[in-house]
Formats: sequence, structure tokens, C-alpha cells
Amino acid sequence: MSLPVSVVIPSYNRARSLYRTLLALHYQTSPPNEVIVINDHSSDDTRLILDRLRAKSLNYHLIVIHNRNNAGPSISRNKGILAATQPFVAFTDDDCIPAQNWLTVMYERLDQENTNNNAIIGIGGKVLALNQDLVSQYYDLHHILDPPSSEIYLVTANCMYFRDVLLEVNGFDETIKVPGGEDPGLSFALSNLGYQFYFTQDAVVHHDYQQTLKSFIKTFYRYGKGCHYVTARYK
Amino acid sequence: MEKDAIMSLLDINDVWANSTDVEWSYDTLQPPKLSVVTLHRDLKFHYRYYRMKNIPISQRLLLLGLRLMQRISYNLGWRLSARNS
Repeated sequence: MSLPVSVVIPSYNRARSLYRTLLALHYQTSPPNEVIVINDHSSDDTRLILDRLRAKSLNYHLIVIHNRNNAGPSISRNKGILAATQPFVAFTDDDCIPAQNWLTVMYERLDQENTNNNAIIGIGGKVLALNQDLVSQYYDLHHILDPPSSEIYLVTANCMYFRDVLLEVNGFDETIKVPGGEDPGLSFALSNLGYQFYFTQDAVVHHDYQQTLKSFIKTFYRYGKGCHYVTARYK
Repeated sequence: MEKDAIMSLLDINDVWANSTDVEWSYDTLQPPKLSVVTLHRDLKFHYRYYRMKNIPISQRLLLLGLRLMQRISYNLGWRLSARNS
């Protein structure tokens, strides 16, 4: 039986890893009702891969949106939220592989926590490195993509929200055009309305980190830029 | 709670290194200045942390190199955004 969840994945030039992500969702213990992929004007084989997958019999309904230009993750995710038909929206990335029970754990815990405390409208899970290289080891050692212990923000590699609260804050900040800062920004906007988040170690996503020094530096530069922007905006 | 269990983007501000009971505020995302003193303190702490995790010395040094890169690049991104706002 499928879960009342729409999984939203923005994708840009990662056809191969996107394929793995979509297969991992196919093999979920309880698959989502739908997966919405926003192809952010990729120039690689993303369109071809998506066409092939749509022709196959997947355990979920695959919805594909093609952007006419490279719009960035915020705009892309917002298109996914608008296209979603289910009451729960989960986010992961095209370089992530969710564990088989990922969606079941996220859905059940969020539903349960919201029943106990209706201010809890979002849940995040654990992000572990897929590989054993130095950069991956660094991310794991520093828990870079784990939410802080105070659960003040969630990261889009591994989180789930109620769709109606996402619509209440108009989703992600579309002025952020590159990855970095848009996910804490969303959480800050929701926190300012009095909403809360929950974190579970049991919902795991494996992240395939880019292994070059250049991408490492670029990632943290973007985090710094994005975190300043959202901090200044929501503080 | 173990120290490494509370690390996240917050560790950029090395708040966690001084306290195991981090109280959230937006300021915890703000990186400390890139002074020789703060970098030295941070690298020294991490050298010990990696040793505690039984990481071989050659790898420890490479991880410290990444730590330095993280601190510098995050700080630069933060400053550039602050200047443009």
C-alpha cells in the first residue's frame, strides 16, 4: 500500500544518481503515492532516463516537470509543492539514496508527533555518507547535514512536511538561486509562525558527496552565503 | 549527550566545542572571525577529536586541511552576503 506522500526531487545534470534515487524510492517498504522530479534544465541524459522510467511500471506515480531554464532548487521545489496532490511532502536530493524504510519511518513518526503536539509539522532524518572517501568521512564526522540538536531547521536531503504549511509560507525563498540556505530559510519562516520540527535517527538517507576539493569549498561558500541571507531575513 | 552528537552547521561557530548544551539562536550560524587564535584553537580541538576517533595521523592532517577550508569558505560566503545586503 502506498503512503499519502509526494516526494519532491529537483535535479540538475545528475542523471545517473537520480536514477539510483528513483529506484531506491521504488523499492521502499511502503512506496510514496507519487514522486515529482523537477528537471532543472539539465544538459545530460536526465530527460532520457526519466522518459525510460516513466515507461516502466514503478511502485509510484512518476510526475516530471521540465524547467525551461536553470531556475535553482528553491523555484524547482516550489513547483513540486504546487504539483503535489498528497497531504505530506517529502524532500530528498538527486544525489541521495534513501534507506528502504525511510518513508515509512518519516510518515509514521510525523503523523504520531503531530497527533501528540500539533505544532510539529516537519520531520528530519539522518544523512550518512554513501562513500568512504576523505570528504565523505569529513561530512560524517562533523554531522554537517544533521539538524542541530534544537531541531530548529531541517535539511532538504532528508525531511518531510505537511503540504498545507508549506503553502502557508509560499514554500522556499525563491530569491535564493543556488543551493545553500534555502532549507534553513524555510524552517525559519515556519518557526516564526510557531511551528516546530522533530528529528529521528531512524530515517536514513545516504548522500553521495562530490569528492573534489573545489566542490567542497564551493559548497561551504554557498552555505555561508545562504545562511547569512536567511539569518538576516528571519532573525 | 555526546559532543559529536550535537554537531551540525552549528559547529562552524564552534559553539558546540565549548558547551554540550547549545541553546539555539540565529547567531549560532554566524562564523567566528578568521583570526590566528580562533583557527588555532579550532584546529587543536579537532586534532584531538580525530585522535579520539582513532583516525590515523596522516588522515587526521588531511581532515584538518578540510576543516581549514570549511572555515575559510563559509566565512567568506557569509561576509560577501553581509557586504551585499
